Amino acid sequence: MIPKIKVKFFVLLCLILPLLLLLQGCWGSKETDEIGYVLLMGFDKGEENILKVTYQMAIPLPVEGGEAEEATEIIEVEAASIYGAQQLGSAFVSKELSLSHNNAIVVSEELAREGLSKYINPLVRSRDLRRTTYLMVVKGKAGEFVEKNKGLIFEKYPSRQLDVFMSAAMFTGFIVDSDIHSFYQCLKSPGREATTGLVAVQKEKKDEESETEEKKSKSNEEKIKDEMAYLPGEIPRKGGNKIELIGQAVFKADKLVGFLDGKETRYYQMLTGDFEKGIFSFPEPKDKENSLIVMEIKGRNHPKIRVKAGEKKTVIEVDLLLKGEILSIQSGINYESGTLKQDLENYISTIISQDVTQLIKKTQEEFASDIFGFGEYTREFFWTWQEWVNYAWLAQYPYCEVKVHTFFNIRRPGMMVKTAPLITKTQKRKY
Amino acid sequence: MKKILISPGEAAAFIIILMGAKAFLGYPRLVTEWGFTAGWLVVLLSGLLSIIFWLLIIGVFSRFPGKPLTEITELTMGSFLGLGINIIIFLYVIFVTSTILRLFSEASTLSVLTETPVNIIALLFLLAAWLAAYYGIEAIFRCAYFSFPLLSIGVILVLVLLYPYFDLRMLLPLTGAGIGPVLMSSVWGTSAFGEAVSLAYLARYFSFKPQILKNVGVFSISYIMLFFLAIVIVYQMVLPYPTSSETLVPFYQLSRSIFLGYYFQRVEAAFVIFWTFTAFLRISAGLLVAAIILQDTFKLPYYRPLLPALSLLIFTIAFTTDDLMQAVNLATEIDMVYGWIIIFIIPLLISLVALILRKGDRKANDS
Repeated sequence: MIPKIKVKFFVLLCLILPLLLLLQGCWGSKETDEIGYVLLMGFDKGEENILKVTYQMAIPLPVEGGEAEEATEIIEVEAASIYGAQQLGSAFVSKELSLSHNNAIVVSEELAREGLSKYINPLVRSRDLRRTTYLMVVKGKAGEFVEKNKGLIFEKYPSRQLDVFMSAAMFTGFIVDSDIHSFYQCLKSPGREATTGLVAVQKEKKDEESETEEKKSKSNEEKIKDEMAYLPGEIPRKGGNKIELIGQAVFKADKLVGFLDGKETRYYQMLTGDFEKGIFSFPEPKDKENSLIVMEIKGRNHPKIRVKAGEKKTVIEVDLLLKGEILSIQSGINYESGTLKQDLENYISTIISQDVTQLIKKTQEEFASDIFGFGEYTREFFWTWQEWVNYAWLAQYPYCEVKVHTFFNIRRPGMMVKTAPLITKTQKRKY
Repeated sequence: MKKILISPGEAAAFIIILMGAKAFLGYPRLVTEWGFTAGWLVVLLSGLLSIIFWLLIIGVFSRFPGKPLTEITELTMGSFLGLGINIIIFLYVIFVTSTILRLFSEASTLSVLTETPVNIIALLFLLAAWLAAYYGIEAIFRCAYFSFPLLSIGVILVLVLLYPYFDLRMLLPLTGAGIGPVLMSSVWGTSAFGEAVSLAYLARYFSFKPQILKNVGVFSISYIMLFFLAIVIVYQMVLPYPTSSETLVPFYQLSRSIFLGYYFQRVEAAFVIFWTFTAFLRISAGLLVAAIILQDTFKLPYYRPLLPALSLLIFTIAFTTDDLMQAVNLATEIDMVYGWIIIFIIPLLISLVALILRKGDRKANDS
């Protein structure tokens, strides 16, 4: 005889098992080949409709041994909204476009100057798209950037292209790791303004000519100092990918107001504490026109920032804490130790302090935009949120006094402890 | 009849899950709306206030050893008034369970099962809850005891992985909305810890003394207060005010914000498992507590026959609101803003009456 409890269990099991059919999510099930995964999205002003969206879509092919360029397809569609464009895309792509694997969004300069808040709202509300998606401004057309991004030479897997590029921020410092999340937070904060990474397509030679002439007329000292002072698309080069990521876009509220070049971006990151490391060239203190010193500079600690609200003027005081490793001393002067080392440290500290001060002044005078978030340091002055909002930091920022101090230490001399002097063939050896 | 024995640890785990489930819904957003940057302060103050409320309630109820709160209410307030109060409490528990069912189902629709009809998800939650409640108090308490360390580890992991966003400055200005609103909302905020009072309704199932019951309550409230505190602090650092007041499902948003490089991202899928499991436990617990209160109120010998009707009632109430925003607003108004009056103030009034009338006092009873 079957025990009663076993019969009960069996009946219960028979009742429950059909319910499992409901659990598999049949309503929303989709086969992988029904979905078109978008890897990169570009927003431009439309010609026939409000918005032109360019998508770089993954083609599910084995990339091994094949061409990376074949692994993606570019499509472009105009619509009134981002989601409208996504729907229209399905009219000529035999898949449902999905943003769940979208890596980055690039927005054209033109659109960014008009204001981004109306385009950010659907992005932060989306359940597909993550707020950790990179957000960048294109100097030029976003569609063109997406097209040129196809089939990058050094990166086989299309899904990783921009990720790899952005990871370079860690060892160059001239790319800002900007995403939808940080942009949105800055838009809503009374203590800082937004900024994003800046990208562009490499300029044609004829476009570059006039600028190259201007750069040729610079002194060597200026050239050394401005080694990284490029906006994307302007780097003098040959070969490589057709896109460039360097510099950053500065916003006031949700509108683009200007750009910072690669050199300024590194100083920006030093001020925000995001700077990891980068290679810097400095004119040789004793022969500024003919020799240079190359140094790998790393962040030593988070910068110490104090905002002192005086009765007459608010003062922003910044202490930058950096360390460095000597990569090259062209003159052969032994700066590795002793007083010369100290002199070099002071010299570099002064240059960085001047450049950083100049950068802050630029954001005050040209952009009137506190992208560094100095205003966040004024939160502690107030007891309530409303008091802080009423303080209207962003309106005060352009009038603040700035004091920057750099504490730079040479920690390592590279693989040499000193440079022995050159011996010319005519010189007699002294023993 | 087999004697049910619930240990202090199991009771604490049960109450912690009962209270903690709201952290996966709108609670972090709600305290941020109340206190702005001082949302964490609202959690701290309301937690401490809840401990005081609990100590006051349990202090009086220890005069009625082994008796559930439903019976004490009738003994103190008389059978007619007592019945009325117990029905109010029962309706409140049913309402809260309904809102939890609706919100968890809606959150699942919004995040993971986007195409599945919300009522089907709710039905699945409810059927599982019914089954769990049918298996009885021991099954649910032990399940809670088993899962509570796993859920705790899951939550801690999500919070720790968000460390790149940590910036304590985002918690300033210190008093956020201002001292007045913060103190005021700390009183409302005690609703979040109100489930602790359920212990008093389940007293006859416990194998331990009222003194230990007091400690279980204090421990549970303190534990969940620290958890809420950690969640709200991290939430306010990752999504600083005012954006923290915008998110529908804050904890899900937090788990979506984890990005530790290319190979460590999109971990919310793992979090959804914890989330769903908590929802199942919370709804089961709500259904069970409601059934036991009803059983005790009407002095019924069994609660199991009540389960189908109560499940239907919970399902119906859950879907009386037309849309999600109505459900969110209703849950906020009745559960969080006025809930404390029903959960804490009514038992406190009963305690007061019991003290004045010297009910439950052995000497008074003898005389």
